[in-house]
Amino acid sequence: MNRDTFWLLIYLAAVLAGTLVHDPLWLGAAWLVCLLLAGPQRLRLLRKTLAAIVLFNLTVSVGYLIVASAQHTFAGAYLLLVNLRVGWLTFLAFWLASRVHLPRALAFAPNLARLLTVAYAMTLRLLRLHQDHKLAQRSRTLAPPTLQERIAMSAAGAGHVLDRATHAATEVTQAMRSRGLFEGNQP
Amino acid sequence: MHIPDGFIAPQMYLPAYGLAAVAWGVAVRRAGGRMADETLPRLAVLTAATFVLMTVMIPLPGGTSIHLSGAALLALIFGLTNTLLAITGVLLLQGLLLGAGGITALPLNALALGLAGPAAGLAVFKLLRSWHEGWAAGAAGWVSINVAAALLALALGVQPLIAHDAAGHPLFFPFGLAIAWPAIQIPHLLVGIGEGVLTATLWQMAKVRGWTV
Repeated sequence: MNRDTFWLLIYLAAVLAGTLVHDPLWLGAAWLVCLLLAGPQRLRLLRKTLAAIVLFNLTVSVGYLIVASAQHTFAGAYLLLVNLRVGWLTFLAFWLASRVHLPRALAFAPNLARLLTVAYAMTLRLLRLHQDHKLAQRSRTLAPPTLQERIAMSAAGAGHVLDRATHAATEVTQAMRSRGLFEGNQP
Repeated sequence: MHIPDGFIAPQMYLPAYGLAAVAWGVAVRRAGGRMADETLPRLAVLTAATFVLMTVMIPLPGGTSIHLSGAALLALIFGLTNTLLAITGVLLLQGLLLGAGGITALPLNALALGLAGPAAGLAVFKLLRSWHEGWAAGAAGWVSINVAAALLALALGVQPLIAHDAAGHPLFFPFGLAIAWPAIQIPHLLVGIGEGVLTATLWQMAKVRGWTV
């Protein structure tokens, strides 16, 4: 077992423990320990965590506040518990992602690790291609396009992005193969 | 429409992991050996597209979110096992990189979005393909996303029943089926139209490029 797989397993154990604890005090203590151990990146991870959960948690919390108040079943401890838990689990996930090399951690499933590697690279490339296409389209049109033109442009853009990304993915795959990443998978 | 981390009780996510492990095992074995040179990049491209589609999400009061998925398209082109692996990869990346979804919700999200939904979509596609391929692909997209939404609504809606304290207060997700199901399903009836159009359009593009069987 490599170091990354080991930390992945530790993370999984912590997640399980966190969902078996229903006392906000214990979850608060777990938060504190993690913040202390996270080192200098704690503030960045905390900001990222809050940004990731704020919309969902606010939606559920406000929904619960309204429904439970109307039914006279409101429990403040529940709101504290669920927000602490969701936040802590998300913090742990970001912490893991910042410390562990995911494809190496998934070494036990080589196809999944390879797929994730190529897919992640492709995601970044797709987002960039999409942005390029949008800017190119804007720079070539004087008046705002009609709906029909917009649909035609989107279809052309999607086809272009698909082709460019496919070529890029083929290159990545060939590069991975030439560097021997598929060697362990030979029949 | 995947479930965020921390809303599913271990009483549900642990058995779900057992079930998903079987499905992942079968998928890995079937995909196993050596993926063809052209399959991996194509699958990666559509996995990346799925990642991008799933990243643009709007939260719902029912405890989940609405977004397009592209899972039906993956199933139509690459089959169910590759779809399950691809969607699992997307969910894993989203959970770890963006904090969307998460490890406790992973098996339920993967089974609903990567297996049950696309399986239903694929069945509809096969049923309607001889009538009109484009409409069949569109219907597959709509059915896929709605079946997945219904299953996730069910998983969330039973949480107050299976995980509550002595006073009856919820410990994980607070809303029962009466709230969770309509809150999740109704928006997806509309989002499904977008998913259907997307599936039909990309299916045609994939066909022109010779990706389809």
